[in-house]
Amino acid sequence: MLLSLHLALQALGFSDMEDTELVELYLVSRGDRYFGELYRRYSPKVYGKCITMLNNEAEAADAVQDIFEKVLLRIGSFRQDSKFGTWLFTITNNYCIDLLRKRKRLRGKVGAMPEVDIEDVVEESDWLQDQSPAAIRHILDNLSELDRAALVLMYMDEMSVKEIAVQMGLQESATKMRLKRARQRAKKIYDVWNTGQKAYA
Amino acid sequence: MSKEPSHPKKESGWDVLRQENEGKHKPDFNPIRGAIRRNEFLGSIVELFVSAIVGVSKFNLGAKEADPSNKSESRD
Repeated sequence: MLLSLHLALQALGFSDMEDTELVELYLVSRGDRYFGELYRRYSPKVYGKCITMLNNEAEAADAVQDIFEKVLLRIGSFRQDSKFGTWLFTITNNYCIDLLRKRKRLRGKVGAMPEVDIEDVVEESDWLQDQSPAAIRHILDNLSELDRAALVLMYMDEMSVKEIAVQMGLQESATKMRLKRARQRAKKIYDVWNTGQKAYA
Repeated sequence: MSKEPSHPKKESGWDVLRQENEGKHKPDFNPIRGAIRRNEFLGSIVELFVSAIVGVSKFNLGAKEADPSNKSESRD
């Protein structure tokens, strides 16, 4: 049956196919065109996620290749009860967070990023949600690795604290603290940037 | 029948940034295609190895089976 489906779809193209069908057909035939279609659909999203998390274009391009090679090796264990995209983004997040942790270890505990004094910053809960792309980019460029990852998972991926905790391998209370501090540092960075913008205008 | 929402969700700065970043991607499937070929090759080597082991063990099992008529002849 899969063979006839495979032949019929060859004639039709893949655009109407579900991700899970492509996975099944790849597993049966090992035809690179099925995996190629999954790559075509998801590689821009994976790249977008990697560049936001890693803040480096060359590293993000390498990460996309590494992540899809990982997917290739693990695709046999993909359970069809979850969405392929969700599964892929979990692998992507894990990959990026691991890389950021390695980077942080290499830089030492203090890190190359300037630590922002957070004591005098009053937290405003949703101010970060409503910022312009330029402001967000400036904030992400100047935050430390794991603060950036936490904020990307919260604001870009709209994950809950519980989901972020799972993804970052932290307790929920530690995740809340990281998010709070990351937002406070982001506010400090934003305020300096915004003052400069106003002075320039 | 589903209705279109009258006020579609406004795109946030985060959404715009994500789209901008996704747009920078230059897809290159060739390294992945290479990995697929490597996996295929390794898979066929493993398959060959497994078939060889199965073949040898079958051959050995066959060798162990003694013909009862030969046994009686050898005693004589």
